[in-house]
Amino acid sequence: MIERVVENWLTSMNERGGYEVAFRQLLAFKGHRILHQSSHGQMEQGKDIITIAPDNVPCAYQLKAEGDIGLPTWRRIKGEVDDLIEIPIQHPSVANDFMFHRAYLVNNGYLKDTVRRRIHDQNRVNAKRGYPSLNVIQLGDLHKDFVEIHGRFLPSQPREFKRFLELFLFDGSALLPTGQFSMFLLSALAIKEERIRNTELRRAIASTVVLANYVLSSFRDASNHVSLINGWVMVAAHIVAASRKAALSLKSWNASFQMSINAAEDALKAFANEILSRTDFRQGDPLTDGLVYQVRMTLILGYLTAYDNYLHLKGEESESQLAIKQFVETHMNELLLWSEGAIPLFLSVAWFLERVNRQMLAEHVLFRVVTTIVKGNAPEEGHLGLADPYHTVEDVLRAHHGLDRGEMSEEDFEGHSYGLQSLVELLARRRRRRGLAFMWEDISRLCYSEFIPKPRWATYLWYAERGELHHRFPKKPESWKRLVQVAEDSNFRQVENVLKQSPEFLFLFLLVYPHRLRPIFVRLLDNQFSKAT
Amino acid sequence: MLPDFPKLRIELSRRLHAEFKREVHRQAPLLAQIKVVAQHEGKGGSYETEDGEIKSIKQRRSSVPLGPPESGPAFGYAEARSSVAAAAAEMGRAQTKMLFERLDEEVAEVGNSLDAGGQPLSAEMILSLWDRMQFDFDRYGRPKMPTLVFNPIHHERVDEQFKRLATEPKLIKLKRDIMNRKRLDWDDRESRRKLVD
Repeated sequence: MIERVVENWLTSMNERGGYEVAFRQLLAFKGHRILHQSSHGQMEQGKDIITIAPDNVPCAYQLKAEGDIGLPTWRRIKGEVDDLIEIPIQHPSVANDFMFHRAYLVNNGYLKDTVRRRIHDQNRVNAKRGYPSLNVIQLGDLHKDFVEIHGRFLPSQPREFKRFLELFLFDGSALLPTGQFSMFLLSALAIKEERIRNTELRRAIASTVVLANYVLSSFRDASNHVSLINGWVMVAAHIVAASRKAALSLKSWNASFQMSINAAEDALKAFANEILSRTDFRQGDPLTDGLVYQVRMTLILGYLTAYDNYLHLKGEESESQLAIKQFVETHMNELLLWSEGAIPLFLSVAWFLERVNRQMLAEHVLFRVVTTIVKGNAPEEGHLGLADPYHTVEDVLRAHHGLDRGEMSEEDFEGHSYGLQSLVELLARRRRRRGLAFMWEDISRLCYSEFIPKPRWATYLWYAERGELHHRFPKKPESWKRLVQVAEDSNFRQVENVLKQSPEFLFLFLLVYPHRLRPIFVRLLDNQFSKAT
Repeated sequence: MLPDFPKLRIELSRRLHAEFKREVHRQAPLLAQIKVVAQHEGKGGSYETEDGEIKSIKQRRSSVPLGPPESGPAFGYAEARSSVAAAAAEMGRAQTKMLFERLDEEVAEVGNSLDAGGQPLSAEMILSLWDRMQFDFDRYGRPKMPTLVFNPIHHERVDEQFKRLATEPKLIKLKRDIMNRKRLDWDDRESRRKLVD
């Protein structure tokens, strides 16, 4: 069964992105040091992945998803293959005089005889010309490696296998079912098991990346970038949880973690490219599209600005900043705070606006969110209130359109807020005393709610079994000095090192896990943004 | 396995559970007034008092058995509803009891209980109770009157005492004085909802 599943996955994809992350993970697991991976888009000198093999020889890989390769396909890709072989690897970690790298063409099918002969002949010519030979990794090799190394981590229990298949067959145009995906990751990483040997966990981590690559394929096929971003950030977060729980050394899990983050970054970039090349954001049945349009636009604005913010936190510059700025200025009136789950999207927009010198507009966004919360969740107003960040956007929309309130029917959202404290502190950091003073009467009626997972590594899980929900009312009266002091507190001892050292991950993490938005995390990110700005 | 209809039964079960909740609130209207804050993760909880003291919230479980009607293996939806209604009434009682136990603990802790000394409820006692309580007022300045819970056998007496409160000039004046004081207290409290230096 496992063999059939892996074969089906490998043969059904029609672009290299479908197995690229999994293949990188395979190489890392075999002891390769990954030096470079080109993101979607143009290949660099015919090389999608550059590694140093365990015997210290540089290797270059070109990945294809062409199925069986006959002469017409070969003629089409030959130029890129020649680049792969003939252009030396140019990378700071590879000595310039290192002429003989290993060149690999990787494909999810087989070579037709005619092509195999051509490659054989070409290799002989290349040897005479002093170029490396072309090695071909075909479907059979990929299949064997994936099954051997990762196959036994495929879910074997019927319940887990069912979940795995449900995710695999999930409608790729919908948003990733985050709770279900987390359950899958928990089981793949054996997080719920009391004890797991470190060697076993290392293999499980590597396999989880491969399996995630597999189950996310329906979203990739549909170019559903937001779901891919969410999926890969969740993979990265669950890897950290499993590693931290087992006190695994950073070296043991960092490669898989980075691969997941890189996959999320690729999806962010692809998303930005798609959005900036479009002018119409309607989609599907026009009769119902208007009912979800503003939510879609909010997601678009949030993730689009997240791309630029993410690169900024990484210390890189985005080539699309100006275009994103124009996009935000044109569409920001279409933002909708459907629940507290949307707060991280608004924060992303606000941080972006500040970075492009639109300070007033950024603060306007923050005040708008605070106003919506204090009015929406004001106690005893007799309305539904803004749903807490635990409810998915789809749940909220279902309730909003009167379809089914589900679990939300048993809750009252009035009188408290998970995101308000963070927002108040952000505004205090910006010295917006007058605005806050004007709203303080309303703010003080709401209780700040904050969930603190226990142990700390459970922060990275979608659902923490243990932890404490803390409620606190703002002080009456509140001292402005004290408020500013708290807002500017830069003692982050409570924050995990992973998040401190990788604020770009923290940023994406909060975007995908809105229920983990805690004041201390927002302060840390705001510090990073202000430093960098 | 015997032939079954799992999807249909899940829907029926959801509907019956919804009826259960509605019935609990119908049977115990006091519970229906209490806001429900869902805790989606973890089991512990805490809150900070106005004095900055952090108090942990101890969760208590209340449960009642909810089984099929006793009429036999086959029954109709109306019979299932009756079973649910009976269990809901029991749950309403159990939760109300728990609520008062909790309330008693809290009141005892802050020392705000009033001992009637075995005397029957009177309009004067109600005024004395109100005098010890903190009142909130709505945006039009009207007091948000507290809920008085009493044994139904005292219904007539309670009615009579409230009539006295509404008709006897001395009691009306006393009530007005208390409410004026409470309004001033409330104004004072509300005026503290501000940012200061």
